[in-house]
Amino acid sequence: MSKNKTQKSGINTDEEIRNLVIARLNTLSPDTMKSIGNEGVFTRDELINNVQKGNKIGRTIEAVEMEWIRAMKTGLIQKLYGQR
Amino acid sequence: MVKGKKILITRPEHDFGTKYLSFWAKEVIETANRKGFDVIDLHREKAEQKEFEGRVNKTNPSLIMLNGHGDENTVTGHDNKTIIEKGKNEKLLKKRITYAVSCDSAKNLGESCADNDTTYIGYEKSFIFNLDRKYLNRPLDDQRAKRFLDSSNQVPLSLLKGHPSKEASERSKEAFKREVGSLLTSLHSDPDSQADAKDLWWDMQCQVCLGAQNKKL
Repeated sequence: MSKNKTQKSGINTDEEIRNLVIARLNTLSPDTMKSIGNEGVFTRDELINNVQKGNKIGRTIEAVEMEWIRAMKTGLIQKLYGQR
Repeated sequence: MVKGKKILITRPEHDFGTKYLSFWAKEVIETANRKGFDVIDLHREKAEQKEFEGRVNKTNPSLIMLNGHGDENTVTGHDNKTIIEKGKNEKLLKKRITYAVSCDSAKNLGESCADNDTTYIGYEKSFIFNLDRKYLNRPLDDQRAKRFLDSSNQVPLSLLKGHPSKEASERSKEAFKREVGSLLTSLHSDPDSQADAKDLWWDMQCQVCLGAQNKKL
């Protein structure tokens, strides 16, 4: 794959993750707040804002989403309930 | 065998995050008292470095539970002032079991003090929990936060029951896992439950037990 194509692909992936995370945050109830350690406690709209900015808080929320997708892909249900 | 054994808990309470941790730590204090442990409770302004160092040196606690914010090298107390820091006073944790409910601190601070006779249970990345803003003034009634903080509390509660350090961490992870499993059922298909499941899974993955694996109180 050429360098340009790789970069393009990378940017698309980042954007897709960001859009997915924002879409999911948008479905949360307005009373939801999230405590992220020393970064603070954030409302749903503040979380969306941070993801859009791509700052440290936003990147943490994206990392949680990615970890979840990875877990689902690698058999989360088996991990939860054991092999049956 | 519990007689005379001491546990020390820091409970800063200067923002919503620390307020929730502080309220949930009450269950640990009550259980410890019931089981005959002496509890040193560094609450609010008492959760600061000088008081912490003095009380650890004077009382020699078997278990230290740190509730507060943190980073890779530190855990803080009230008003985010540093209580314990790698390269400065982490030796205070030697020959004890520490459970740090704070972000990132297992990474460097935990690594630096864990050894064959010292356990550090903590989180390698951010410790995240969700809450419902309707309960900000009644944290113990917040059922969303309960999923996270009850699971976390299984570490000290298991230790107080006499389980070894590694098992205490595993029991906590099992509790996180049970919550995730429960949220994934059709009864909990709302977006809030899905979000909680993701964050519970994250916390479970980030919790580590470093150093002595079979240390008991």
